[in-house]
Amino acid sequence: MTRVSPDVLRLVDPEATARSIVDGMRRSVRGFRRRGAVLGLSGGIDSSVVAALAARAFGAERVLGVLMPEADSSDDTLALSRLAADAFGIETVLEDITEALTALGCYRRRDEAIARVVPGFGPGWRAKLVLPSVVETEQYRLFSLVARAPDGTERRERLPFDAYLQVVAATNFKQRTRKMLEYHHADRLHYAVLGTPNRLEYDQGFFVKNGDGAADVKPIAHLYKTQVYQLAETLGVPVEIRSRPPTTDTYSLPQTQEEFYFSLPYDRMDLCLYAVDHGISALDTAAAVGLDEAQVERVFADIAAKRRVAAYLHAAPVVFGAPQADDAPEVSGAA
Amino acid sequence: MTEIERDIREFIAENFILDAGSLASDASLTQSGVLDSMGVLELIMFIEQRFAITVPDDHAVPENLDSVERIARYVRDMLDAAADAAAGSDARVA
Repeated sequence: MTRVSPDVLRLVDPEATARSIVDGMRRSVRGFRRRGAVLGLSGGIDSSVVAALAARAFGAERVLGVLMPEADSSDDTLALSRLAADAFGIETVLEDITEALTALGCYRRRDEAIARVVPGFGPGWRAKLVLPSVVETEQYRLFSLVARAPDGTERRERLPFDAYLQVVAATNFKQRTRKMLEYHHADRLHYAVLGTPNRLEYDQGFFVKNGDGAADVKPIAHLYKTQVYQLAETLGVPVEIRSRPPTTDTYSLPQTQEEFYFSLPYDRMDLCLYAVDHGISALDTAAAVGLDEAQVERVFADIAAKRRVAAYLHAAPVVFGAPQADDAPEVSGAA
Repeated sequence: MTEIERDIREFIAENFILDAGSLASDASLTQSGVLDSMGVLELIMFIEQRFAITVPDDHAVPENLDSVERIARYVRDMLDAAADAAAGSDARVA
């Protein structure tokens, strides 16, 4: 009988793992005929590890870190991003996206939707989306909005479908604007764009399609987040970044990834994902994650449900029949 | 088939782009991939608007919403409870 324990995720030789990834990054980027790499730096563990790997793969002088804070970013985002860049000698460029987001109507569209649920919501208010625990109840996970007024009072309201969609659609401008800038710099430098999802995020669809989900290479998408932390230590990611709790850094109120998306903190979520991938039962997983069998069953069901949603996020555009060269439109003036 | 069940079936078939005949009354909507987290929100919005009832968060469980049959039963129970409450209120007024 196989039981889950934290040991199953431990990288036996993290240096060898790093070398293998670095080799893969070099081969991929060479295959794309690009000369280096661009990535967005968020001050989080994932982008810092990818930055370290990129510096090893291409040399620090061929890596550009793009810093893209906006009005709702945490106070420490910029400092931690620069800390990572400095640790690996990577050049950075600062692109504050607040004005672009304002011009696109990101904040206005979001706040209009919130004000339909919380009348009076506007400047000076803060908000975040939260989900109920999947562990405690069989209830479907319905998003609620937590809004904090300028006087500090908080309200929590379930979001109706149309308001939820508008809040998410407006907020997704953030990830898509960042990706647009990453590709701008990649085109300018003839570099490739690196994506920074870990396995948990990639598998479970914790990304925006054509936003942070877009990239040419995703070097750590096969690693559990627990392993990313282990690799971070090996690669010399500064301790301030390694000790920062994972955050979405997307909404104006601080929001953990468990509140917004995952059922459990990342280390226990990793173990449940490992169990699902290796056909290990809920009973044999329960002790390692500190839950009972029924609770783990609910986490497993949530993993399966998120995979169904992620299938759309991962899908390439559907094409009916193989396009033929003869069908391609003529391009006037093409060489 | 009751009018409630027919309304629910029509909504699910149209909204989730299904062939109307392909939906068994007792089939699990989540297991068959029809209903995801977005779908639950849409379904609740439909129930609240079409039948003029409020679905509290703690009623949003598979027991009430995971098949056409279960949704119809839940709606009937909620409508009956509302009618009983109204009757009680009328009796007190009288």
